[in-house]
Amino acid sequence: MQREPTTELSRDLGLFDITMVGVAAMVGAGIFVLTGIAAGAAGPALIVAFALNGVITLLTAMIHAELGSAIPVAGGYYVWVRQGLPGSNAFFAGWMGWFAHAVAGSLYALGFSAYVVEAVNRMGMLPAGVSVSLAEKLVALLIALLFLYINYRGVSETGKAGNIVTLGQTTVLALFVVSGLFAIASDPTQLQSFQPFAPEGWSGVFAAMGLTYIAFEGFEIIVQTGEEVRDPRRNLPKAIFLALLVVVPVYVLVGFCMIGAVTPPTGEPTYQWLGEAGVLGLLQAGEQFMPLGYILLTVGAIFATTSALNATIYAATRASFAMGRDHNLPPAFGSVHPKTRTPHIALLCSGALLIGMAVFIPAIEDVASAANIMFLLVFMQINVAAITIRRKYGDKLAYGYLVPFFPYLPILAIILQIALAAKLFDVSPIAWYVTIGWLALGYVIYALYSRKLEREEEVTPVLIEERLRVDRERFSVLVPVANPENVENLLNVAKSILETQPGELILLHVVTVPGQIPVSLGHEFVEETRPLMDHTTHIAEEMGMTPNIVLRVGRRAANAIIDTVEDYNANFVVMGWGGQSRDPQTVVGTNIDRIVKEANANVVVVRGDVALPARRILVPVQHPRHGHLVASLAAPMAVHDDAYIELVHVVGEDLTSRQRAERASELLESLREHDIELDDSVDAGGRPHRRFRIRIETGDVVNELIEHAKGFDLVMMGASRESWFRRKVWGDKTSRVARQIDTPLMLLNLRSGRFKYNVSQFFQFFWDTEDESEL
Amino acid sequence: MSLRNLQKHNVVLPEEEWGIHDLSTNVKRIQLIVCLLFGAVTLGMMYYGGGGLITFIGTGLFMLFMAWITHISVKGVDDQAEEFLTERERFLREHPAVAEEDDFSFDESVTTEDE
Repeated sequence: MQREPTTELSRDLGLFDITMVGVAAMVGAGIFVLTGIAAGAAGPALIVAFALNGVITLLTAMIHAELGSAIPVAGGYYVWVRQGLPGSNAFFAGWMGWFAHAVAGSLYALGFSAYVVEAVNRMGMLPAGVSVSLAEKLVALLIALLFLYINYRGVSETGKAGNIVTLGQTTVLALFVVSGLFAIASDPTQLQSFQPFAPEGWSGVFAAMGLTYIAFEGFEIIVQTGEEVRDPRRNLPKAIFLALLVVVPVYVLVGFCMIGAVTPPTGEPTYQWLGEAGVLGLLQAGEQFMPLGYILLTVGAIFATTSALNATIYAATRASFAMGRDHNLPPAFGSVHPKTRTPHIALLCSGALLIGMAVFIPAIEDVASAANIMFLLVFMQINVAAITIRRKYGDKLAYGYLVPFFPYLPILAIILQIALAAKLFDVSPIAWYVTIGWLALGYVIYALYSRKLEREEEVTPVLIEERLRVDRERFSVLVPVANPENVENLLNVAKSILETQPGELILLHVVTVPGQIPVSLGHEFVEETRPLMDHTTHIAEEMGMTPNIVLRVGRRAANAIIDTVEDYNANFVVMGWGGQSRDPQTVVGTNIDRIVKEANANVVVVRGDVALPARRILVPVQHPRHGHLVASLAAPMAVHDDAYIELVHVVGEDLTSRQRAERASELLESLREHDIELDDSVDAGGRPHRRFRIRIETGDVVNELIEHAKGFDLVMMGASRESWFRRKVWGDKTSRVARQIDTPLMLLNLRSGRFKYNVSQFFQFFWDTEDESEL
Repeated sequence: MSLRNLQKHNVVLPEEEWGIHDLSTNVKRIQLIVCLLFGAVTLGMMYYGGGGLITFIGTGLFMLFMAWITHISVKGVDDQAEEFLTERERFLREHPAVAEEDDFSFDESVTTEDE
C-alpha cells in the first residue's frame, strides 16, 4: 500500500500531561456558574445528578477512548462523524459544534458578569438607576467584546498563563471541598440540610443533569492532542478515563459540601437558598465555610469564566473557520486577516452569535440549556459514528481500546443523551426553539450552498461534454458504454425507450484509473477512448438519434455512472450484463448492483441480444409493484411496437378456477390503477388482435418462468427487493431466473421518489460494510 | 466517507494486516458487569437513601465505583495493546515478506498530512 508523504509532530506529551489537559478543560467555569442553579432544580439530590452525569459521560468517554485511540487526529469529532455518518452529518457536526462553543461562551460571559456585578454591588459602586440584570447584560457584552478583540489581535492565553489559571481554579475548588468537609465534620448536624433529599423527585434530578452536562464536557480535547502524544493509542484512552476519575468525584464533593456545609441565614432549605442565588450559589455557599471564601471564589470564578470564554471563542472561531476552509460555509469564513493573521470573519460571526445569545436570551438557564442540547446532539452523532466506523473500517484500524458490550453501550449512551436533551425542553423551551431554529438555518445553508460544493469536490471529474443540451427536467436515457460488442444492443433498448417518450440520449464513457495513478492524470487516457466514442456516436446517429456525450474519469465506473445520473437527472440507465458474476455476494456484478442501489433512476440491465422491436414479451408479475414496471416500460413498448405481452403470475399452491379468476382480476385492477392501456384491438386487416393476456400458473416459480419464457422474444423482470434496506437488489428468485433463462432478458429497477430515495440511501449507508466512495 | 480519507491521516493498518486483529474488547466483561451493578447500587443508595446515612455511604461507594471502573478500563487499554502486538508478531512471523517491508508502529503511527 502506498503511503502519503507525512511529517510528524514532536511527541512531547506523556500520560500525566494529557490527563491534566483533560482535567483543565473540564474543571472550571461550568461548576462555578451552574452549581447553584442545579441545586435549586434537584435539591440535595444534586449529588446524584452529578454522579449520573458522570456515568453518562463515562459511556461517551469510552467511545472517545475507542475512536481517539484508533483515529487520533486533531479534527476529532468532525473527522469521526465525516467517516462514520452519511450525507450532511459532518456539516451538522461542525455547525452544532460551532453553536455549542459560541453559546458556551455566552454562558461564561454571563457567569463572569454575575460575579463582577455582585462584587461591584457589594462595594456600593453600582450606578443608581442601573438594575443588576441590566448591569449583568452590559458587563457580559463588554467582556465578550474585549475577548473578541483579544482574539482578533491574535493574542490568546497560552502556555504558562493557561496553566496558572487552571491550577488557580482547581486549587480554589480543592479548598472549597476541604473547607466544606471540615465544616461538616465539625458540626455533623448540618447534614440535616440533605433532607428533603429530592424535593422535585427524579424530574428535578434530570433537570439538574441537563443543566450541568456542559461542566462534564471537555475531556474530548484530550483527543485533539493525539499528534503530540507519546504512544497515543495507549495514552489517549487512559488519559480520558483518568481525567474523569479526577473530575467526577470533585464535582460530587463540591455538590456535597455546598449542601452539607451551609446554613442559610434566612432559615429556608439550603437548596432553595442556593437556587435563588443562581449563578452565585457557589459563592454564597463558600462564604460560609471557606476562609477568604468570598475573595477566593470571586477571583477563581473570574479566572475560570474568562479563561473558558477565551477558550470557547477560540474553539467556536476555529470550528467556523474550518467549515469555511472545507467549503461548508462561504469562503469568507476561511479567510485570514492579512495583518493580524486571525480568521476575522469567522471570529466576527462567532462573536455575533455569542453576544446575541448572551444579550437577547432572557435567562442564563436558557443559554446553558441551549449549549447543553447542542453538545448532547454532537455526542450522540459521535456515538453513532463509532458504531459504523467499527463496522466499516474496524478490521483496518489499530484500536488502543475497544468499548465493551458493543454496540449496546453506545446505544445506551445515545438513548440517555436523547432523554437528557428532551428533558431540557421542560427546563427551557426557548433553548429548544433556538436549537431547532439553528438546525433549520443550518439545513437551508447546507441545501443551498454546502451540498453543491461538497458534491463538486466528491464527484468524478468530467473531461469532455459534447453536444449537451440536456435540460434536467427533460426525459433522458443514459447509456454507459464500455464494450463495443454490445453497443448496438444497448442503443436499441435506449431507442425503444425514447420512442415511448421523446427525450435525450446521453452516452457516457468512463476512463477508469487505478489507485496508483492520480485521478487528475485521467485526461492522458482520453485518446484511447476516442475510437469507442466515435463508434458509439456513429451507431446512435445511424439509428436516428442525436447523442449527447459525456466522458468522466474515476476509479470506479459505478461512481461515474451514479454521478452522471445525478448531474443530468437521467430517467433511465441502460446497461449490459454478460450473465456472470464472480462475486457470490452480488446478483449481477458489483458495479451494476451498486448502480441499481445508489442511482436514483430506472435501471435497465440487458442480457443477451435483445431483438427489438420484440413481438412477444413475457412479464413475470409476482408483486403488485410489477404493475408499475409494466406501466413504465413494457406497455408503452408494446403499444408502440404492436407487441403481445403476457403477464404471468406463478403461485405455489393449487388454485381453483375461481381463485385463479380472482387473482387475474386483482392483477388487472392493479394494472388499471397505473393507467395501463393494453386493450385488445384489431390488426391491420381488421381482425381481432389479442395484445395482452394474464396467466395464473401454479408450481415452482423459477422453473415455471424458465420453462414459460422459451416461447418469447424478450423477458422483462422487475426488482423485488427483499428488505426495505435494499440488502438484496433483486430477490433470490428473480436472480435465479435471470441467471438460468435463455431468452433475452431485461431486468428493471424502478426509481423511487426523491424523499424515499434519500431515506433509503441513509439506511443503506449503515447497512453496507464496503467502502463506497473512492473516486 | 472513505478509506482513502482515513489513509490520509495515516491511521489505517497496512493492507496485508487487515482483518487479522480481533475486534472483541479486552476489558474483563464479568468484572465490568459486577462493577456496573455495583455502580448502579451506589447510585440507588445515593438517591433512595433520602439524604440520610445510606446516601452518604452510597456517595463514598460511588467514588470507589469510579476508581474501580477506571482501573478496569485502563487495564483494558493495556491488555488491548498487548494483544494487538501479539497478533501482529504472530502475523509477521507467518508472513516474513511483509515483515521485511513493515514500517507501521502501534505506538507512534499518527502523523499529519504533508501540506
